[in-house]
Amino acid sequence: MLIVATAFTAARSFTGPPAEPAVAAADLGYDNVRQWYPRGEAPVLALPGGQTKAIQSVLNIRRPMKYGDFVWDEKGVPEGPLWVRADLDRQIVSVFRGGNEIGTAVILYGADSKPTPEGVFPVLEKAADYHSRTYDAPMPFTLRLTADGVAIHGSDVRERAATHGCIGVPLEFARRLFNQTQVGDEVFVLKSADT
Amino acid sequence: MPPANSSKSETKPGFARLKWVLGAAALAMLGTGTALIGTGGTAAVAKALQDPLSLLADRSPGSRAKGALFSTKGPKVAGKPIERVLSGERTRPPVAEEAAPEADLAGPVADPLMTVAAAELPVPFLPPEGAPAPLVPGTPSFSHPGPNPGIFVPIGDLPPGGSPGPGPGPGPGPGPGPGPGPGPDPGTPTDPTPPVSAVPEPGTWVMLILGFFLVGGSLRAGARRAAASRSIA
Repeated sequence: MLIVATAFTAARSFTGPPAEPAVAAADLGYDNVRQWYPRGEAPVLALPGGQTKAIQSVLNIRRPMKYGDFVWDEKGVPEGPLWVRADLDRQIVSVFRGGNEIGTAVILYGADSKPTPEGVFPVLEKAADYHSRTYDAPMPFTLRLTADGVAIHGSDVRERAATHGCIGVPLEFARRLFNQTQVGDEVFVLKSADT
Repeated sequence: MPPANSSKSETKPGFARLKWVLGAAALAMLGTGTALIGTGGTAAVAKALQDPLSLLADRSPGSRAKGALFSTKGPKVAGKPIERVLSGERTRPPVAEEAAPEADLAGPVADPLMTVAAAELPVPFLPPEGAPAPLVPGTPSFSHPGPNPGIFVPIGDLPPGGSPGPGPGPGPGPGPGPGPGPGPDPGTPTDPTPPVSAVPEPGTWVMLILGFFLVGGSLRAGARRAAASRSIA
């Protein structure tokens, strides 16, 4: 992974955590260009629960990411409500802040025997150093979604791997998402074939 | 301070300064790596405007394949194809030059000498000791790789005038000398015992059928005698 340290010097009013330097895989062709939609032409994403969200900008990644890759770039993105869209069919998670995508990663999701539930899940609990009692496994930067233990947490994202229903993201991505997310932020889990 | 805003700047100097700062910040943002979808005019941009999910599809590694969690094979690497021995992708080189003489051999009239020799073979021919396989009379052994097809032909049974040999090997000699055949002493045929054939000889068939008639006739005769005795009684 190539860490691209951006000189982010624009004046901002920091109400949340400080901005992280942008991170992208070296071979992704990620040219650090955010794609802004024209004003008034912002597309609207249909999300579970009948919700819709307008998108102001997305990260410009035109090449398939590999397992374990993620891109995080919050440069120039103002503060705003944060929500997460996890697409199980595409194995992609996107983090939006104020309608602007600030992070995306390849995810793991539940195996067929223990599928990941779909729907709208507000973050119930945050635990930076969580260790699962059920599976006796470390789950760093856990964002608990359901009462029965489904969460977003850092894991070893690799091909031909799955979870017991959680959404696994790369560890560094999980740390950044953990820092941005607050309890109550909404996570939309869906399968893109349904939309 | 621009002259156009001079009148406003007198009333709200802080607001005009904020506008300039915002304008400069916007210009800097455009210059340092932000782009507006729609300015490019390409098909990809139009697609992104119409379907924002297409951008997410572009970056997706694809859906998880069925049975991906149970596969023990490594991931398929896109690149040069791997040649596998039993794969259907193997292409054989053309065999036109090789196949031509074989087709002549297999053809019915390609080698008249061979067919004539096969037709004129005497029926009671016997393979020598150690012949590779039992041969059906009348069919030449095409599969024998050597020059000697391995068929021992008694010289005395040959028609007068001499027939060409059954193969491209040495023809029939004038006597029981070193004849063809891979046997230990092919020139002097020992007293051969004919192999028991799987198909009974015609004489055997005739004897069997006659036996059936004999049994049937005796049974019928016995029945007639019993009927006659019952009628008497």
